[in-house]
Amino acid sequence: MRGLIEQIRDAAERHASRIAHASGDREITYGELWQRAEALAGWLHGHAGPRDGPVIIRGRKEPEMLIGFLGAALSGRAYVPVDAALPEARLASIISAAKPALTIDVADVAAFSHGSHHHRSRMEAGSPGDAPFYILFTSGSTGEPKGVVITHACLASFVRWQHAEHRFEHGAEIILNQAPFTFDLSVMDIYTSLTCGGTIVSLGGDELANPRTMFGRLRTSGITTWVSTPSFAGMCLVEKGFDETMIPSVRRFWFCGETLPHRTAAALLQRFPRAEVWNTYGPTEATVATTSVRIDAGILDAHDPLPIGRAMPGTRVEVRAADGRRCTEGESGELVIIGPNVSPGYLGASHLNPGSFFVEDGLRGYHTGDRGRETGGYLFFDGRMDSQVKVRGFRIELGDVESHLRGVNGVVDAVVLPVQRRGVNESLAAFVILSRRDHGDDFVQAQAIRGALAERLPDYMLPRRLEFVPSFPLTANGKADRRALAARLHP
Amino acid sequence: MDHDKLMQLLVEVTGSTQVLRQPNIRLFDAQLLDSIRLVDLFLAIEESFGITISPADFDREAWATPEAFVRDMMARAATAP
Repeated sequence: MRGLIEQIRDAAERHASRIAHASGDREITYGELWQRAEALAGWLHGHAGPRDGPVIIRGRKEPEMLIGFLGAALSGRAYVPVDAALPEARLASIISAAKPALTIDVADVAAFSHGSHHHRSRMEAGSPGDAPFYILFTSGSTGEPKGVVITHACLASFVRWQHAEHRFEHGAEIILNQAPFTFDLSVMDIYTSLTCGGTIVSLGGDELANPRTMFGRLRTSGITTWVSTPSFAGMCLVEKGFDETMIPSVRRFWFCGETLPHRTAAALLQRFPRAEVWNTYGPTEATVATTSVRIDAGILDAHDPLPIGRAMPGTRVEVRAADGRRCTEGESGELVIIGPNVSPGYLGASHLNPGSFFVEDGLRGYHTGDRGRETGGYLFFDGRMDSQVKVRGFRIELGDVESHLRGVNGVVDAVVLPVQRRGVNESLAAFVILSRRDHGDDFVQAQAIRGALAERLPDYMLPRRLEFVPSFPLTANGKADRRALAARLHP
Repeated sequence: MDHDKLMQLLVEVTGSTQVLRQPNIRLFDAQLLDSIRLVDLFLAIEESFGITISPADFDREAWATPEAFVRDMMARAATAP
């Protein structure tokens, strides 16, 4: 079986003059991408030292990010993508967990990927299946981010499945990238595209912030495969002109990262009658997605909420009860994934791994913490068993935000909850007990706390609403009554 | 078009009464509005006033502040069929 890097090299050779990545006003061809990735690998070989640690790459959606990812892989190292705007304190936590050989940014990549030095890839020495390919950091309930290690073999199994399921047209796909590169939904578009000579079209921050610019880009980019969170597509659907006359080229919508609402799928099928709509499901710990289903009129009629589908070939998704037995048809339990796409575990966090990761019949397994059931041959996702939430596709441990809020000067205690709109998590709200409430404006004090929190957490984890309360309502056990607080948010 | 009703929608979507106290606050800079909330506001306006705003034709500078938002909506109402 050929490795992922070999597949990308083949695509780069066959489609050297084709655009591999378009982002903002920048474009890079396959020829240049590969050449610069090799040059960077050579530079990394000389500068990252003998240590086998990963390379942290800071940036947004610049073509240099892809050069960095491939360059790191070609030098035999994993990469850790980190958003350029991530606060220094959070970066420091990531560095302490990842123990990188080197931390670079897009300017470094631009400067050190021009050499003619041909580095003989360490990849060529043999199959690197078990070597880590990337490490993605995700919110951890204690306030420390968790690094999920994804190996070459994990990623190869995911990409192989996607190519078998979708029969992408080599050298002809134009694939939308909406998600940040630090979020594994982006892995879906990046590596599917790079292994079939496709063009990745990234939406940048400016475009996402300004609807007019964004729709202009969607209209002119010739997208054939749409990859986004369902909430992003839901936002686009508010524009009545968002239909097949705006993007006549689109042949499939491909969703992951959060629940696909029935109304979003129904509206897409109506406005894009010639396109397919696919729903997928899977945690970062099992490489992007593990189950899939094509949503057609029959499924829409039969199911609301929509199913998440069936497991990919070679991987099992079982619904298990608390005692470990398999649930019966329709019975709710935990979704457990067993297969080659499961991560070997969290980086350097051996205390987190038992309980989450296990080995069964020689295959790796992962307890997702997701509640689900199997009915009529389809799996369904019914929510979380803990206080992890998804907000606009971003995975957040409420405990992560709470622990950092408690660290802000003047904050005694905090409870963080998702705010729902039309049944979907829209943002976070925090109920905060202060040691001293200023007589001045609550808004000003709330902005100051948000400012302090922004020095510790990424943007997407900042609560939109801060409410100051003298105390929390308590449950019979004397704990903060989260349900009673949630009721205040949704009167 | 009712000024108070417009401001009430803005309070609901931003989740803050600050927009009433500071008519010149920069809504996007203060993170009271972003693209997703903007879209929610479009929907709320359509529901309340029957005025459809096309996101693809919308320049967010038009609603940079609460004051600008009201001014722009009054103008839209005046030209609405």
